[in-house]
Amino acid sequence: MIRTRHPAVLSGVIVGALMLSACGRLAPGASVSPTASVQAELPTETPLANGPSIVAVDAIDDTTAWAVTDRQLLVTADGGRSWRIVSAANVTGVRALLVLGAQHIVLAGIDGLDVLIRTSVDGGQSWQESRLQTQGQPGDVRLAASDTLLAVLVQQTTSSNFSVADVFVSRDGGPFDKRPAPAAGTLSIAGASDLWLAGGVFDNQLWRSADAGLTWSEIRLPTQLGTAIGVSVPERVAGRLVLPVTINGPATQEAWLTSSDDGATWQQVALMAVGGNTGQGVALPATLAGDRVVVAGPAGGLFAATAAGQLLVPVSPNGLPLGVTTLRFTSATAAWALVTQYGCASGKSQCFEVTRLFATSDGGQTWYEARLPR
Amino acid sequence: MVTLEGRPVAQRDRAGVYGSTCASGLDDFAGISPAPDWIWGALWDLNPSTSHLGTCVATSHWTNRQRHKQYRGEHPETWNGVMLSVDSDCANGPMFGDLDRLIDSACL
Repeated sequence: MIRTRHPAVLSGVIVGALMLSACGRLAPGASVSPTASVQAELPTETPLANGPSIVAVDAIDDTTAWAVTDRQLLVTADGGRSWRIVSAANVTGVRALLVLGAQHIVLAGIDGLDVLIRTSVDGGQSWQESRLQTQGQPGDVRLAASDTLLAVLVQQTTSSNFSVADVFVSRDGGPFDKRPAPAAGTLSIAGASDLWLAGGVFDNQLWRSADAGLTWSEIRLPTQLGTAIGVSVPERVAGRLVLPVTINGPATQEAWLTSSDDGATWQQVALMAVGGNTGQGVALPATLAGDRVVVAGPAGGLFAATAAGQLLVPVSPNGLPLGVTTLRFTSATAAWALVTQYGCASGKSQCFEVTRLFATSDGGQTWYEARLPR
Repeated sequence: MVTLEGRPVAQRDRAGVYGSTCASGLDDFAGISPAPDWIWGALWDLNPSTSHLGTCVATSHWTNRQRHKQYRGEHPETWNGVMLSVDSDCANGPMFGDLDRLIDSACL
């Protein structure tokens, strides 16, 4: 097995203690303390031949979540302690999952050279399919939705020297219209028809479309961030947009930017050292949690700031292994996280890749594994 | 086989081609003379097996340890404490410095 992209930074092991930057400030009474790194448990499985087991997870509240694996769609109503298999769901080729309501689920997958959107409004008992055709070879799919829009970003299969995608938009459940996308990456919708796209060849670009994907403009971020950054899509908090940006390097930092003019201008309101070493273009998993945006640090630890720039005390999550790839808070206290761990038993042989689901109900202090049936 | 500059490929080297399995027309290279010694097909089906290059590459082409596969696009992975954006690939063909060693049985 070969791992490519940015091989020059494949050196050094730095898991640093947390330091508060000069620009940051903690909540009143908080103190700065090193983040206790949570030691990842080494998986005993070697499932590389089977591929990642959990493909995607989405949740609508603290106890109800849907998960799609390489074999089936499952739903839990008790915070992941038990799961029900949705037998009517075809998950072949599925890459993305979006839950829009208690019974409203969207699956997006790849079928040859097409993208298949499967939608259920009855909790997975019946499904409607939409087939989207691109001019290339679909490689990955992302979903985003608002009250009126459903957007599908289809990344074309290319080397990492290119970043090519199409976006398809459906309004009010109508047919999908194909629109140009300026790059591949991550998609979100903020507002009635504001599409946001973070990505590009170096994952350091942010784009906005104010007309549901018809036209796009690149957002200029503050130059002080530099170019070795990983950009996420913004979240809307208290009437502002909050944009988490990861500043890559051997001592990774996270910056929180806000905009009060729908992204025309941005101001950095918080900056924090989050520990760990990240290569260029890595954007740490980030999510909205109540009135704050939370980021999972690369060396363990959860870091948060409010839209006003108030940094909160970092959390050392007990029971959450390193390797968080997806973080989703459904309230200020409940969250779900996908953790993927990699390793090789011998050199570059017998390599494994294990994806596991974890949940918390106390704001991220303690986590438990939500085990899915095979 | 010649290089991009038109020079013949050195005798000990083995020439190969990277491309998406369908959109790049990778299989068409089997019809040129001489054909590439190996291919590196990009098919992000999450399956590391180089035997599975989809319907666009004929199963009869490049069968003798002549295939690499990029089976997943860019995503974050952490190795030795460094989180990187990488793609995932499997080798079942010539590699620099170790021409014919099979790296992982999952790549067959």
